[in-house]
Amino acid sequence: MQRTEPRLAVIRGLRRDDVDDATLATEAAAGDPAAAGAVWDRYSGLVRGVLRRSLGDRDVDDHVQEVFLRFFHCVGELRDPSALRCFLIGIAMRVAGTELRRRRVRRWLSFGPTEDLPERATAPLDATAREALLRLYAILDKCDPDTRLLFTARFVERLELTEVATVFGVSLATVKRRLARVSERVFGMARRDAALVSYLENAGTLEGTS
Amino acid sequence: MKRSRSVDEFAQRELLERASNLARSAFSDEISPAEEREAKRRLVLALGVPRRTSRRGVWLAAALVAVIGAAATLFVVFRPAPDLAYRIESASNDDSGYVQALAGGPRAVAHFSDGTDVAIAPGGRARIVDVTAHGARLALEQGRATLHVVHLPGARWSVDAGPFSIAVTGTVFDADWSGEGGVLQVDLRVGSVVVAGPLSPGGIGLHAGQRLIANLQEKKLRIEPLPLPLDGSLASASASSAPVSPAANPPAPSVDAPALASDAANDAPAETAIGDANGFAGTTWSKRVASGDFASVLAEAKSRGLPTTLARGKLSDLVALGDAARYTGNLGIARRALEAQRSRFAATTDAKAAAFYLGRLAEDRGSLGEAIRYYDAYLSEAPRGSFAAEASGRKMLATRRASGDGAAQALAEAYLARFPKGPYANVARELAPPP
Repeated sequence: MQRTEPRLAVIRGLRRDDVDDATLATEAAAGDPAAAGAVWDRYSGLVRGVLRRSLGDRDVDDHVQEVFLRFFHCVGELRDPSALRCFLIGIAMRVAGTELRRRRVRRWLSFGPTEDLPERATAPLDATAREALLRLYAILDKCDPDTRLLFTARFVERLELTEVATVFGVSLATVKRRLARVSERVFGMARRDAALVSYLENAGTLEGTS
Repeated sequence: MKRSRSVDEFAQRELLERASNLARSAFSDEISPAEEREAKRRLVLALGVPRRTSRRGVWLAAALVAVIGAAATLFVVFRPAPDLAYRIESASNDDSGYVQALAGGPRAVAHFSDGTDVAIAPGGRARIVDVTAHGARLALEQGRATLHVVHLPGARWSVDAGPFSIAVTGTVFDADWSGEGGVLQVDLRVGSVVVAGPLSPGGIGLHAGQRLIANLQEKKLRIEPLPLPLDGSLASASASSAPVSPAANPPAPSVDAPALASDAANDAPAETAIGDANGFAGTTWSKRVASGDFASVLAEAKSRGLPTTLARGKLSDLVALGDAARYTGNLGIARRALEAQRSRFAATTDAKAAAFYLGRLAEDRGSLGEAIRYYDAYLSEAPRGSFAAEASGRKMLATRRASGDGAAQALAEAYLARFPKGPYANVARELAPPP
């Protein structure tokens, strides 16, 4: 049976702000162009944010495109339409994983410096924050891509444990076990970085006084 | 021992929490409205190209790659793509990226290594501002440029013409810019482009077979069907860019303001002709606006009766009517449609956006106080809305015009704090230079 490829239409009047995710996903899978547009309107920002925080801002537009192309290609495979958000985050994580592995290979081939550092933030940061950010991502760089993305999903994107399990397609127990390992590892490396610890301690102090 | 472990766990949780906060605060989800529209437009185009790779095909390809040899494949696949190369065929070729065709002489052509050609008609001049692995940015300083952009994955081409910017993926079109008259004409033969500028800040999509004319002095933007060449082929017309005889093939009715201001008797045939030509007869107003068919929407609203449409029309029709009226310079109708959205459908996303558009209309009329009130209304109702950066920037500019630089300084600082890379960041930095 030939599957209908959803076609996205830029139609401002057809926003579906009040439609729930399950309906949107079902209609997008059926090839409804308005639903496809609504999925973009609702989730392109989230996907962009996930990719930026996983990879940095470089080429993020291309990665967002890739995520949605994959989504519209395989939305028919979404078994639980209400899990649309997790489904998209899962695709974004897989795209990010592919990119991280690609960068790793490139770095290995060129014997060059790391390319995984977020070269520029999208929000204004002072010098110490920028430095701390670089150090944080340098630490994440030392983890393999899957571990790094697991950390990002749970701690940076603040997904629930069950959502993390859905996104990565593993059991809850596996998620807990892996998260415990990666938390221990990141924490261990972070606390040996005096500049990072100093910044984070001050950040806590400032938060406490504000 | 137990207490020490607990303290360590607390420290770990706290430190990871703060580190995560740092990452979250550094990378936002936001993007400018123009970039957002361009991204959506790119996706629309990409989705138009069928993906033939099946899951089985992917696995076969992966197996093949493994057989050929990982190392060699990786080297080839992951080697950074070089920037496009180009050569310029011109009487005044100086290798500086300047493409100039002298009046009365032959046209100048820039050939890019991906197969894209940019031809400058005699008397015109353009500069190749930036070249990447996926495209280039051109600045059309004067005259007519014909672009044949080869559609490749990730292709990114753009043409700046005065204050306008034309975002391109794979397409064939002519752009004609008159700096003196402030008139941009874009004739789109194949594909689609997004034209952003003072008259269409969010960008307006143009489809194959359409002509956009933006006149800065008259503050008018109109889209009309492109006159067909004798053989009826849009693509072939671009090859020569020769003028088409209006007598041989008269253009379809245009959708500019004077035409729409004519009597209802003239409106009805125009609606039929355009609707039939684009295959949209009987389709929703929203779809017609999305396809650039503004005339039929306005004509139908008039035939129904504007007061009835405004009082009883559904939200999507009011939105479409407002858009069609704005794009064709029928600002009175646009304003009434937007006000109807706000009064009848308050608290909807469209009603919030209507506040922003009403602000733009008020600003264009010179009613700066009213514009600022509408921008404030939008920012209050949709602080993270898709026009937030635009509304903040417009409010800053309107305040500057109304009350001077000093009054706008605080707004500039707030703008920079929230949108450091926003479309008005340069102006904001002028108003609030860093200490």
